Amino acid sequence: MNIQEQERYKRQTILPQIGTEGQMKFKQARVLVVGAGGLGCPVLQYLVAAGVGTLGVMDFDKVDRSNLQRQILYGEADLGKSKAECAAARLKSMNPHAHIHCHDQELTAGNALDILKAYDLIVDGSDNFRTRYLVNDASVILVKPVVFGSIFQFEGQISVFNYKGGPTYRCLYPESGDAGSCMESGVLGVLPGTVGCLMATEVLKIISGSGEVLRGKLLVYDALKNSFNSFSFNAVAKNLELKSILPFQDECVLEIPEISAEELRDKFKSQAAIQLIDIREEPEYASGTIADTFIPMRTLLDNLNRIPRDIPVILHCQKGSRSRSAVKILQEQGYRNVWSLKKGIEGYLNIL
Amino acid sequence: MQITVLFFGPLAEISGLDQIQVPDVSDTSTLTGYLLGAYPLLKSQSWKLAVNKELCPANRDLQDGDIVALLAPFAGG
Repeated sequence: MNIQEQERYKRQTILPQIGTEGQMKFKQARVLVVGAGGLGCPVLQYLVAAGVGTLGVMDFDKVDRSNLQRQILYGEADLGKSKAECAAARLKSMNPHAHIHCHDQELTAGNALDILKAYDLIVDGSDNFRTRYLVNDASVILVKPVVFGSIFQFEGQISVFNYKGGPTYRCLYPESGDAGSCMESGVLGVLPGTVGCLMATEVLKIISGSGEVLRGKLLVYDALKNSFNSFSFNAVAKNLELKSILPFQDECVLEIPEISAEELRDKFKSQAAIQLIDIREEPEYASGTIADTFIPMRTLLDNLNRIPRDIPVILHCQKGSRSRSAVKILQEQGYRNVWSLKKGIEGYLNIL
Repeated sequence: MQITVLFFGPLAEISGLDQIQVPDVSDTSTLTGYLLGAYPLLKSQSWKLAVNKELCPANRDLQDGDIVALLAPFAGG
């Protein structure tokens, strides 16, 4: 470390748990951050400030105005530009001692092993299940620890996978979440900041070998309740013995069959044999319906005898969201000809 | 006997509640059956069950006062 670096990191090196030795470990460390979004931004800026010597920034997205509420490495001037490039430029200006590698590309099963192998530790700040399982599998194969974070509205989950023989993402969640998580969900801007800072802390603890790491522990943070809950989980041997990247069953691609308001109107006109079912709650049903059958969604399974299997069944709710979940429930009961009314009763009334 | 069930993340949206009390369930399988009956939408989600802050992959006996948490994966970043 030169004089400038010694001065820059003084407040860290005087910590007995870090010291000059720990600071040298930061300088030698190579960390890849997958996703330079809500989580990636705080992770990257704290790691670059703390003196991590080599940082990879991976994102194939462009900066959008709706990102700026939480992705604090970017500003108005960056709109439409590559996130990886903007982040890399900003990080270089924050700390000239760091080597920043820009990966303006998508992580795929084809490139994951090649890219990850150049790093010692991987941070998963991605925003989809496909990438999360990919990061996991590639890291298991290459035996590299993963610092994991994910967010939902006011809640965050943080863990460390594949660290010193500890459990992996697949040990915690063998299956991905539902199709609903493919849709845009709201998030309080500061939440990924809090969660990202916890992730950056785990990275620095792992590199310096200090403190207790969230290995085999899932930390759940609830911003509304100010609560931190930690849940322990165990490794499953077969997940640690992965030799190749497993194919991902993308649930978002498994489309829920939908019918548009216009198509439904045509079916009514042609008097086609269909069963239209209103799956909303009683007060909604009472305010007016277009269906001849009313079965609230929570009672669907108790009323299967009222739902025919020989003609098309169309389910409708208010806006077309709940009916998608209801279609899935019936599909699991073996129904093959069941549809969700797109945009619900509201959409239908709009075209009348 | 009384079990406290906590719902996290998208599961709290499904149940509409942060927590409920469930009486007279002897093990986690019975509890899971009860929850799927009470909240059928839980079938549309994959989730994990933790008893007293330990994830439990297999059926497990429950004791009075146990706290069971329902956790779901979410991918947001």
